[in-house]
Amino acid sequence: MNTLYARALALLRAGLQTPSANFRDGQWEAIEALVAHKRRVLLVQRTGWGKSIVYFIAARLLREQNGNKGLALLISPLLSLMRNQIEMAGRMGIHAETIHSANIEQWDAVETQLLSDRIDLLLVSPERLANADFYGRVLQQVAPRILMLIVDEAHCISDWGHDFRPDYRRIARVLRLLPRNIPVLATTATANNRVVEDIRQQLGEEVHIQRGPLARRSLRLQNILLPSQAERLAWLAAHLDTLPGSGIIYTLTVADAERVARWLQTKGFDVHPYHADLENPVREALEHKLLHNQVKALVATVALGMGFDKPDLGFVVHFQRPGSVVHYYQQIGRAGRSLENAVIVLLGGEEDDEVIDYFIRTAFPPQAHTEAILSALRQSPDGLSIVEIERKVNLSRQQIDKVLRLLSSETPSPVLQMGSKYVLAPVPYSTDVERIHRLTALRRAEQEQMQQYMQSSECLMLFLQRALDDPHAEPCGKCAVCLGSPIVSPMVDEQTVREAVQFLRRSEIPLEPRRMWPTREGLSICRGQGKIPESLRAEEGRALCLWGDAGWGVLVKRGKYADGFYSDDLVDGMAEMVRRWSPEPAPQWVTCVPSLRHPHLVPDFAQRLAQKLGLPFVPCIHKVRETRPQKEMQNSFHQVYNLDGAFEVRPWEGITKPVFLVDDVVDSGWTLTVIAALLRQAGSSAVFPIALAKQVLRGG
Amino acid sequence: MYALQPNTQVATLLCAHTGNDPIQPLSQSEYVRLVDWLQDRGYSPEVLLSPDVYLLLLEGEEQTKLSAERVKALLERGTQVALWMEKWSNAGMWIASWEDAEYPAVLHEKLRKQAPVLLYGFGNPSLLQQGGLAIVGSRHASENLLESARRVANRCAQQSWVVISGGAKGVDRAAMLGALEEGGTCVGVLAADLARIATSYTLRDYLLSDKLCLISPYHPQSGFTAGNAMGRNKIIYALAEFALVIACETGKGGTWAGAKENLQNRWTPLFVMVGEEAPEDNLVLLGLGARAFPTRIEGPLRGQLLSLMQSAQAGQIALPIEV
Repeated sequence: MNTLYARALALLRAGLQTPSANFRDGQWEAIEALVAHKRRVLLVQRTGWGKSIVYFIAARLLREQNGNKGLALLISPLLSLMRNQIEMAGRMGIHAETIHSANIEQWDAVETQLLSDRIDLLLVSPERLANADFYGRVLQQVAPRILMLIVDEAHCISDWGHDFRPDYRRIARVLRLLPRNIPVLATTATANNRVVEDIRQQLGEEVHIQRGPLARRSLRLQNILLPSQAERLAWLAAHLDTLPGSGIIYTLTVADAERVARWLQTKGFDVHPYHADLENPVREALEHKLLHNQVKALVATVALGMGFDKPDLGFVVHFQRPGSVVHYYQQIGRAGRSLENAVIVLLGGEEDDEVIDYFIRTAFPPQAHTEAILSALRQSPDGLSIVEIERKVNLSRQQIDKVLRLLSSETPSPVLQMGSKYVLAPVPYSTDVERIHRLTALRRAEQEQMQQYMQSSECLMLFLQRALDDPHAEPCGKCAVCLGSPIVSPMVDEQTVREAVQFLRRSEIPLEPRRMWPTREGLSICRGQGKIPESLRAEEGRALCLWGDAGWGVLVKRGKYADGFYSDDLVDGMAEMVRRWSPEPAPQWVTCVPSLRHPHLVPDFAQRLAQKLGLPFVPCIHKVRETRPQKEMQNSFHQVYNLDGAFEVRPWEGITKPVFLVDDVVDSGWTLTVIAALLRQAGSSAVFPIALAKQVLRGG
Repeated sequence: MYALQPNTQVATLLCAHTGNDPIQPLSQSEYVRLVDWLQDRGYSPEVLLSPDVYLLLLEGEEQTKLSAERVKALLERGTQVALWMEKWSNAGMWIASWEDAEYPAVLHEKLRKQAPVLLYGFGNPSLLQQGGLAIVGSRHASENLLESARRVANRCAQQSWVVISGGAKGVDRAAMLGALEEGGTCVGVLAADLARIATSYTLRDYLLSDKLCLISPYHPQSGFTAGNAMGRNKIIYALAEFALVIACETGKGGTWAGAKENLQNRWTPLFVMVGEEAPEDNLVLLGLGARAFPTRIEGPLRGQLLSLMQSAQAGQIALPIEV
């Protein structure tokens, strides 16, 4: 054992380039349990504690024990090891490689090295692991020689985890089947008791659990409640400069990330939006800038997350309140790893709950998709390939992939992939409604806990640690509550708030025209075509604001739900937006989306707008059948189906001229798409949709 | 969630073919040698999962005639086997080895060391414990003979007696569907393609309603070989209380060989279809110790066959023979 320890210590010192370095509490114990006793180990340690040191050294020692043959498999949602980790591994003489969907061009090289047994540690994503092609091409070759399995971000295994991923369910099943002579290391930085218990059950009773303190001494926490977005924008503009170094401003949605960044840019700050809609190279460039303190902040969604390691990150501000303590703690835990002090501010606002509610509601894919695919498979004796499913079911490739991935993750799974075909497996299946209810209730409880945190009158760090069941929880002595005074002033000045309102009021949103029908069949308007022909398409339109925002959003909401009347301010705002925009060819008349439920609300507004613009208002679209509210419809197919045959255009002599098509709140955009097509069919040369507000609640 | 007993885990690591096996899994006889050697030392197979197993294997090398390197490498392929097993178990497949409760005891009793180390299965495993009538015959039987097979299977179904079939085309298939379509239960012992057949359109619903159990001693995607077909015949006979040959050709084909093997090993009493529609070759089996299947089924078939057995003369009971 002494020789094993000596060897491990030598590796550590080589890796850290510090001849006097010693193991942190628990690191050697974990290595020993894995290497000497082939045990299963769960490490709950905060990021930066050195979990990678444990798996690098354990991987190396296991391989040395085995005559320098075999490798460790690291399953991680990260795309790659961090550069500093790879460098450390290199110094230990450890050869680590990554295989994921974005580096297919390197697969051959990695494969060759795998087959010649030159790799110590292979990193694959859970998605890759579930991929049949990858399994056949790469994994099957090396799987017989895997000496240790490492499951990173192991909280994803747990149903109770905040970040549950379908592909991790498969990992849980593999762990259940894994014989006990293969050591397993599961690691996570954030797991409360329930999650730890869940992981323990997956790993077996014998698992060695190690749980370290989560608190990060450098964080100085403060919560500031500023209901309107304009106030929060003003706060950022006023105080961003006082925050130390470079940092991250988190928002809940992509649209908010874009807006907040744009506002701060107009105020002269060097900030950029960062979210999942950006191309990978752009994201990498932005990360690089932040890493090197070349920007004040990135305004980011959760897309900037796991694996981003900047030890000197000076601050994290949340523009909106996240959905759970675990999410929140993970995000703020990125700050101040190597600093004495980092400033953490949670700004809470009035829209927080609406956004979180939406995420909770849409967390599971529509059951209609699942049923459509299962029923197609049931009717196909020889199974179906993805292309064949596409032909049989009116769903996009993405939707089909999503359903198949979800179904494959079920235990047991009703679908089985055999070669290129999917067949139904002979197992009973029904959607686990109980599980969906349970998880939804859990998300609600997490949301409530964050609401309480926002109002907490005890030490903020203590609150978070207790929520995470940290046995080492204690008051921090440096948060705004412990100090009894703010760390950053909560004040905003009236003038900047007014400017923010003006900014929001000038931030109209483009409405991109739809180019494809969601389905070929079952709709009279699309005549068996998937593509919406140029001759039936709408032009690019505009929405005055985001639903509920602090610019016009508040007035729109009040008009729709309280007054039953859209104020003249909105008419003026819209008219001004049209003048700023001045689309070509200039519309010559105005019409609007009819409603049987609220027959006057939109026409009345459209009429006043037409007057303001000096154009004739011609309500030539009629609703001939009542439809269910569009927001109740589950997917594009149902949304359009709901509208099929609901409207009728009554031609008039000026119908061929370009037209503004007015609606109040745009959700999916299908109503505008369908009516624009009907108008174009009736002869209109160009249809410009304009709306008061757009619902955008997309995270990522 | 599906899990395996440690002993079954060991049997799977050592013997399962997963479609890509750089190291040759142990054959039946190799596994038997290893397990016997362990047993002599008071160990059950699960001892092979302990960390210092290599020394133990070296110690046994001489007697087991198994390279310790090879066995160790097989024992280390746990991740691969778990990944492979996950795919199939999550589609409803289970594995039973000698030590499992689902593994039918009659196979041990009748086949002893020839009892397959692993059984791969889909559907209701309790059907394996219920005896039943094996109905066998060639792949290329006449429509009349297929009808006979179906009719007998129908009667079994009506009398809640399990039908055991080889699951191949022809007579096997007719017997299986004859039982299932009548609402009865059936065990299909397959020589190949377990996964494909278990997911087939016609059989899926029967598996789901627990009326059918499909098993094979071969991995779920193995292809057909004559050797595999013969290997699985013994399981059909060993599971059954009685066996019925619908049609065979003297000296040719799997049915003949299987029936002969059964008579030699006395796994289960053998009946053959006789009468106008039955091929003359069937009569040859009568000379070798089989009995004529009743031309009319009166009352419970199981009782009828049992009383035919009891009334039989000592001289008619089959003796080991050479043909």
